[in-house]
Amino acid sequence: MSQKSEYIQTETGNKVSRKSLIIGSQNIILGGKTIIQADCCIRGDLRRLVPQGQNAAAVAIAVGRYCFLSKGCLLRPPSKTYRGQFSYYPMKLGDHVFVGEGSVVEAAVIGSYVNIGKNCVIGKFSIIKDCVRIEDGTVIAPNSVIPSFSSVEGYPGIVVEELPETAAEMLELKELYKSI
Amino acid sequence: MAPKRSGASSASSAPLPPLSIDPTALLSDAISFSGTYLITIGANTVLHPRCKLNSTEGPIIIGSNCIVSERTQLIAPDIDGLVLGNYVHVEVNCHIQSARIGDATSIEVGTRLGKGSCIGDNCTLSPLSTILDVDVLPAFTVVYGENQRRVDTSSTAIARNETMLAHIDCLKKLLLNKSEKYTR
Amino acid sequence: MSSFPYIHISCPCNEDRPQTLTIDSARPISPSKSPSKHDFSFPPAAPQTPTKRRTLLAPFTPSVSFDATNLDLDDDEELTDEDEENNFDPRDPRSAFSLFPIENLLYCEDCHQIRCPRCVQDEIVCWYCPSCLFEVPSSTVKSDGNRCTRNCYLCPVCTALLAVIPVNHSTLNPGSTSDHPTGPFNLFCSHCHWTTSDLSPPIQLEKPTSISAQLSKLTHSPQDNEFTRLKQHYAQQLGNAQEDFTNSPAALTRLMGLYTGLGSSSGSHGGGRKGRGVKKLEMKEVDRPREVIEEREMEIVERMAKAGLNATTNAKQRLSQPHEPRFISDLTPTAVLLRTKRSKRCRACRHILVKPESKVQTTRFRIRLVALNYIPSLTIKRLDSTIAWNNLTPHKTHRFLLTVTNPLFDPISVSLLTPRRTPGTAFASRVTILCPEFEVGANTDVWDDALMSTKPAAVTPSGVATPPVAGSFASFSKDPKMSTVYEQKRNYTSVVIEVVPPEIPDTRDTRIRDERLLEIPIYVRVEFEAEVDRDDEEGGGGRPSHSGASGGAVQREKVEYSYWCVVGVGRVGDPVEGVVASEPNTPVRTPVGTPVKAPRTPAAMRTPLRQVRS
Repeated sequence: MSQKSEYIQTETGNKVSRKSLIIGSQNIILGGKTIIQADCCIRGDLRRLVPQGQNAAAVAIAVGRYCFLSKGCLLRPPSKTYRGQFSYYPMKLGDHVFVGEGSVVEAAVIGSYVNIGKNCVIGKFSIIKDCVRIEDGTVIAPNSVIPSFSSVEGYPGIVVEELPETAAEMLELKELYKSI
Repeated sequence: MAPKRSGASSASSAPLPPLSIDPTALLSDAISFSGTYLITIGANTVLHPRCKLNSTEGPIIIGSNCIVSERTQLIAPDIDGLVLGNYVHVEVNCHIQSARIGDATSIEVGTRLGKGSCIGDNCTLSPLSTILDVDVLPAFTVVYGENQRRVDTSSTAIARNETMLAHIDCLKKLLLNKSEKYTR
Repeated sequence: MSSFPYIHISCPCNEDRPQTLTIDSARPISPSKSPSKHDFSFPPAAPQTPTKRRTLLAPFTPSVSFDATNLDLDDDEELTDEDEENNFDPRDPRSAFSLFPIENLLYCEDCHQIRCPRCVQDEIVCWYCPSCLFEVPSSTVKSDGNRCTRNCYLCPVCTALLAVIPVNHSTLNPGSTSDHPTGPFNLFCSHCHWTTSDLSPPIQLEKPTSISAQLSKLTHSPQDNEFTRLKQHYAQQLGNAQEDFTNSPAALTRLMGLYTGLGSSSGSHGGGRKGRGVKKLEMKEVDRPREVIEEREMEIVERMAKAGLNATTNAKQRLSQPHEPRFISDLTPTAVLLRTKRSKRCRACRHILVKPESKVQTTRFRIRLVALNYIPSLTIKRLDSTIAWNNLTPHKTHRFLLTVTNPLFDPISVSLLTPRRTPGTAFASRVTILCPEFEVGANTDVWDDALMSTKPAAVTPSGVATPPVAGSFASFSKDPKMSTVYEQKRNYTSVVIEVVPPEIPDTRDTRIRDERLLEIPIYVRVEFEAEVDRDDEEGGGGRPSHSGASGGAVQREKVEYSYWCVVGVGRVGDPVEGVVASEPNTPVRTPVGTPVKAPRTPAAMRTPLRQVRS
């Protein structure tokens, strides 16, 4: 698909484009076999502020295995005021998560086998469960919960269809990893 | 800290436009300034990395306590320039060519504001909304859904301003301040 | 419409019912390594069968009928006029109901049939709120309705989830008592900033929890109140029976019987219900059923004139509310609709095809018989990346790559048959499958896959395939253009399909009929030798066929099945200058492997998905 030199391969098989922007890489965990394409931006620097001292192992973004971050997408931990303290909170992506071109993800948790289309906006602190497809251009409102086996569309996104039992097979990304 | 890759150089290579940066403002790495008119950045304002300010057509004035996120472009539409009020929060991926944006307005992800548009105070533009050229939004307008509009009567304005201050405080602990790099 | 390309498989429920079939004569295609025992009572394929004839001929010619001028004698008897009728017509209005992507299809192991959502029966396993993901017991669903009774509410203006915020927010000083914010509280939409204070009269909640209980007190419309009054009245009347009539089906029947009883009692009092053993209930009607006053139109018009059009609801907002309010200030928060987890049964044999685990948050299944694991799936790709799916050039030969993937643990031989001209339209496209007959390797497990990747030359699918047809494949591959597969990997094989769309005028009529939509029906026939597993051979790995084929000790049998699928290739565009009508194909590959039409599928063969040749 693309020339090998575009990607830096890590020990665990992650392939990270040289043209991507990874900020705060010490706060980012990639599970392995994840692909990060050009112009992606991952904001690992927006980590959780711990009130007193102990800044131990602050993970801002955890990404599972076989994820695919398409060109120009952005992962950004969500932020809110909780108990009078404003802070960013960690974001977790499961396995086989596809993020389409130009999408902005500020979710709290994204499960496994999730396909996010092009130019979507996943609002702050939203929770997306396993086996979900989000159609192109969807805006998920902040704090939403998307249950499993859903197809979501709209402005703000609502569940428009139930996915069949084969959703995990349909949304798995092993082949996509091999193609890069 | 962060691996600096290609593109980070754009700010340093081209001649910078004249800048007037308040000493309390926080400017991250790799902000792209271009153009020839004056760019003013007010007190306590935070600019995320990779935001772009273009003053080719006119000056840009950013008020105090604002946040401008990464990959957002602020482009002055004409000689009268682009004025951001105080407490303005501009999220990521926005493309802004407005003439004026009022105080405490929140512009969410991927919003496009047309050339010369005028956004009032305390407005909220939900993600991916588009405002046409020369459009005027009165104060307290919420643009949501498929460009539907309503008036914000939630009286959350004060709370939002407080949140902005807390947010800026938080960012000041997280982001490295590189403003002296641009004023040199 | 789905984007191109797509491949939909026709569920056999499209064909004439009844579709109950001779289950005895078939055995399941079991992809699992432990098929059940009742599958094995069949003798291996007897020699004198059509199947055998086919395999013998296969090395030389595909057994498919060719161009009319190039008749294969052997298939002569199949090539009669009535073949036309057996072609699947994707444009037939009835077809649309039975065409599904393979992902949406299930497979019944007992009927040996594809099952589409139309031919399964759903049964609710549990109810849950899609927002808080709590399970709702079915008794609660019966008494309180199918909406979340906890704290999940949607914004009536924009459908986003509402959050609870204190009305008085300015308690942000970190050291203060902001750990437990004090009321009153609002429901607030973080998308459009609607709050319950926007209602007239405004609603403010005292506690940030148990919102349903608080809201139900505050948001009752006159209609709701009247309903509760009536419900209470009749519940009281039934109180003697010590039952809440909404909870027990028997009580509900009695209540319904009450009214049918009243109807018949005009003649003979209560005579109709004597045999039921139900005690006659004396029901006192509500003394004065209050009529809820409908909104007066003039008032509405006046209010509209005052408030302006922006204060009125749009159709979506109106319809999502119980009493269809006309003004935004009358919209109340809507509780989240519950969702269900459902198991699915085959309508024909009542066997369970899908059974999810009952825990709300798991996505696992106890039983999951999906067609994807039983029947080969087809995919189509462009060979030439310049082909625009939505703008195919008339008269130009478009070449696509059709890939058949085998989910079974036995190698299969596949015949793809397609009408030479797409049926059901006056503007037929010419379709040619360059290699309509080929082998697809077994779906070996990951271990074998890993082994293969280390020594790819040694173990190719053709090498391990069943002997007779594997040889034929080798002879095919000598000519790179004719009748040769394009690519063959572990468990998939790709062949080239050529499509020449015609010139289709852009008229009103063709637009209505959507003539430019190019859909190709393909008849897929699959044959394989399944091993008749015995108990002692349990877990023989992905490839039990090895020893069986040579030794003959293991019983094997030929299994054959077939189905129609429809390939949505794209849309034909406007004619391009310079590309003109030409002879069907480039001379080299003209007739070989070009089926004129799908062979007649005898009723017996059509109805069951598969059958054993014995």
